[in-house]
Amino acid sequence: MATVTERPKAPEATRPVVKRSTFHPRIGARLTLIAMSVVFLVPLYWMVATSLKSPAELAQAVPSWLPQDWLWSNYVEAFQAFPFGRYFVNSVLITVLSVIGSVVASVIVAYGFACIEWRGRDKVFYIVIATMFLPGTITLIPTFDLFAWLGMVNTWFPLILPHFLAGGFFVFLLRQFLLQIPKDLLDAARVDGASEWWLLWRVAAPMSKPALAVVAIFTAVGSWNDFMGPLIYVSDVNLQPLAIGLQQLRQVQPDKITTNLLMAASTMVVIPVVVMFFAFQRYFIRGITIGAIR
Amino acid sequence: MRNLLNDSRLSRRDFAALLAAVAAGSMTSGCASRPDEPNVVTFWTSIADPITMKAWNRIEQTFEEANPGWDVRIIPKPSVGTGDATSLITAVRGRTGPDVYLIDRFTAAQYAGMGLLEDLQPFVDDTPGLKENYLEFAWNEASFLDHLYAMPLDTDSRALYYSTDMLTEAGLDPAVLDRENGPPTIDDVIEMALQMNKTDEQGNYTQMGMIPWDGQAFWATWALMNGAKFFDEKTCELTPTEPALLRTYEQFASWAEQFGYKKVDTFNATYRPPGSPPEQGVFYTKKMGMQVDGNWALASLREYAPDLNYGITYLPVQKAGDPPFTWSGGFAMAIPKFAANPEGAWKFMLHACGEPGQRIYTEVTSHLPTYAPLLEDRELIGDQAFFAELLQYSTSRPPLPVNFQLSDALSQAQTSVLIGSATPRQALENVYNQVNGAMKQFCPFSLPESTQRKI
Amino acid sequence: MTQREKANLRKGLLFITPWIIGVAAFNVFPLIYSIVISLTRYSGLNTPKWLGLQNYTRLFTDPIAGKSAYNTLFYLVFAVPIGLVIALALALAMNRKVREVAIYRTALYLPSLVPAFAFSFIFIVLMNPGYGMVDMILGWFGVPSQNWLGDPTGAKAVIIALAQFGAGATALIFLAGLNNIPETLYDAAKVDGAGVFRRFFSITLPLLSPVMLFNGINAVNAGLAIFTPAYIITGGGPDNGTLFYLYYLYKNAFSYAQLGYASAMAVVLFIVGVFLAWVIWILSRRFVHYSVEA
Repeated sequence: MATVTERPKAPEATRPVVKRSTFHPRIGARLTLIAMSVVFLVPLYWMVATSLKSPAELAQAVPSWLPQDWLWSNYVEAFQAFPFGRYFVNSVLITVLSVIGSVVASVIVAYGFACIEWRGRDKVFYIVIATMFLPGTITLIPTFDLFAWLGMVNTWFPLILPHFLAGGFFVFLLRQFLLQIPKDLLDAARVDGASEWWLLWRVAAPMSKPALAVVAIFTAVGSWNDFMGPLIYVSDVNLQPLAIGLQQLRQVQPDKITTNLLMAASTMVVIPVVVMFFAFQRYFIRGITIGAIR
Repeated sequence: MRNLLNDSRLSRRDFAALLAAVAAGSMTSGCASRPDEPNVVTFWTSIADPITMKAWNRIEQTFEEANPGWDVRIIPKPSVGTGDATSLITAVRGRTGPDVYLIDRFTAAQYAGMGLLEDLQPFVDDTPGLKENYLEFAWNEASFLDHLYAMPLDTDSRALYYSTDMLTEAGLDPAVLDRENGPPTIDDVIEMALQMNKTDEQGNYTQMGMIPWDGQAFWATWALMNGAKFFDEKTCELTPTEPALLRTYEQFASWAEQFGYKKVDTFNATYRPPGSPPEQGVFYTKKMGMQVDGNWALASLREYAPDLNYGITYLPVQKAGDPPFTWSGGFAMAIPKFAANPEGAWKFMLHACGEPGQRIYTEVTSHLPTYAPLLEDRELIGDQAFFAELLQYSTSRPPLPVNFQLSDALSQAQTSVLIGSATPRQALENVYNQVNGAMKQFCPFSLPESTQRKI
Repeated sequence: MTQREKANLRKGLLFITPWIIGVAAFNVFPLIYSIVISLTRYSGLNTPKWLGLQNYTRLFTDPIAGKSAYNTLFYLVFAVPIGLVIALALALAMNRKVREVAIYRTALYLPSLVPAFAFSFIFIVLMNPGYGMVDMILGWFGVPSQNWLGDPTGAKAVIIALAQFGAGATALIFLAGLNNIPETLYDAAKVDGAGVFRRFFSITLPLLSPVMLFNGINAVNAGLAIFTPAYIITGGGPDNGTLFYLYYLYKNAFSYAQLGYASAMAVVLFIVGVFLAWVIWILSRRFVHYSVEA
């Protein structure tokens, strides 16, 4: 049976490690980590450095590590050269709506699987697990036709609506959490006349806040990073999110998106993710490890 | 619901409702069905460089002036490579397509056969005297089974541009390429190109004379010059392995060896990387001595390199004494299936592809008109006179209903041969295997007469 | 069924309704629809025409389909093992309890949050011989600059390299697994005189196998669906060298409007995916050790 790996320590960020000796230099591990950290961050550095260079500097024979003139104006220009602000707002709205849908739907469905006992429940839950492992690519063509019949192509519905219908993985994850709620507690409340709906929002949901945060964060990152969805469904520039907006402008008007501006835009795409990471670091780390089924 | 959320959360709920309202508003604004706007025409263009956008804006303006109350909305749409219409196909399937779509004319038959475009023949039949004004080959290229599916806009022809400064610098006499001497031979041009190449100490090119497979020097140019037919009507088969095409691809293979494909590719990636501004183009900055290009390059040269010393001559030919050669393509405007306003679309197309629109397009973008009377206007044709004159030697690709796939496959085959991953014959046999099946469904198929012979 | 059981069943089904709709719309319907469409010629614009199995016979003789399958296999064979090894190495290094591990963890994890489309833009810049960094660094060692993306194998290698920047997330899952291995096992092994390698292969690796399985499945699923970097960086070229299976499927469906053929591709991919999942499942029963409590 699958359970969840739990890491009881919360924000490990600054917690001193107790168990093993801390003064041993552990040179090999340190060097590996330092080297790999540099390798992992250097593309992001190059992105920022390039974003501050001029087209003339980029055309030089040998690229420079530091921009010769720090052209912060590239960021302003990026805003003017393409509808960055609109793309950004669209991305944010799509992400927020997806998160709302995902959290609300997953917790309702998970409650149905965890806290109400009904005949055939566990058998149906096997289907939930099965859907987690089904390759998603087969849905590409039929889903497009489905949304076309519904008149939803070139709107945000195809990007958002699926989140309101609860994904298998999140249901699975939340169910694990909700199963930890003592059954007696729920039954006692039921005897007192509490409805399931009330129990869900007043008891179950508050108790699974950490898991809900994980669902929210994962949905947010997935939605913010999604490329193929908008590529297929959203062709109106006024509705496009960053992912597809930038790419299509590169294709349509390459002269507008010079490399330095593209990197400035990319930097602005990455910043919200970084901010979100530092704000919710705890949940990110937890969310990653909570997914590991053993 | 009331007891779900306590009072302190009400503001959050309001916020969510607000958010949903905003989102719902913007979600529906992109919808294509607009029965309440009979005077609006949406126009999707895959050509959206600054020069062409200038032309579109002027065409829109003149149309709206001539038709008060009408509103044309120009929307740039991506096209991934020649003839690609992914964005249109996707939009039409989702019933969110435009009223007018700018189509690469040689793919009109393919998209008509697919059911993507409205048949324009009823409109044409209601407009007497229309067809007679257009160059016959362009009209036929936009037709499928004798019905018009797209209104021809521009046409073009190709020639050899050379940088006189770079030739002189390499110790060559630019006068050799003078038009008076007739078309140069391929071998001579390659020989000159090799003399203009320069490399750095690592052996990488820093300057090149010419890349004989780059830009407009791609398979279509050499294959048509060699007399390729692409299709055999009798057997209703594609003929990618016909001698003309084989010869073209064998030539690519030997050029790739001669110039060093990898080194040329590195040159391209270094000196015209993605996202470099247009004024850094290699021909403008004297890093490229010669290039095969069309008349439209004149407009770019005016815009980005007004001081460059250059000359234009005939495309090179196989052997001395061969007659001049060029080929022509161009774009056209079509009405996609499920367009919200087909009547308005036709009205706009008559303007844009008619005399007023083509006049603007010719002047601004330096393309040639397909509206034949305009070709007589010497002032309008201006510095394109040589290209207009070339039209008498021109030919064009046959309008096959598989042209996009065929062109895609032939381009991939070109890369295969250049990289050396396939022999010319293997690569072309692959083309046959990929596309002939799709052609078979249209058999028997006959091509319109005039696209087969010289224009 | 008692009255109460009936009520519970009703409630339970009511709560999982969103999920039922989701499964019907995004799992069951697509599967059936794909199979049906794959037996027809259908452009999405006119009525489908029955073809029988022709699309399938065509698929197995189409040289480009073969190439796209080869590209995907190439990607899987390199990207999956390399990714697992890098992630495991990072996890082992982080598990050495160096004091400032939080810094490394952040540095290593952050790139995995950067959207694939933005990372693709960054790689276009990084790999460029003109304004890129990679050729400049290689130049220090006398390697002449070259266009990596102009070579079919080079371009695949670049896309495989790009995927490795997601290793931070995988490493954190491994780290969680490592933390779950009881210290006492190592102590006992040390007493028995087992060396570092012996301990790694007899304790760490077997006990980590469930996590390895989880990460492996994820990596294979991601590999089968590789699309965005190829679409943005190389557009499937050069010489179809980065035309992965899903990319070719996308092109057939959305650029060529051959929905029947694309659906046949989807069905085959689905079968392969299910088959792979089954193989992994069988293997896991042999090699994966689920019990730690010994």
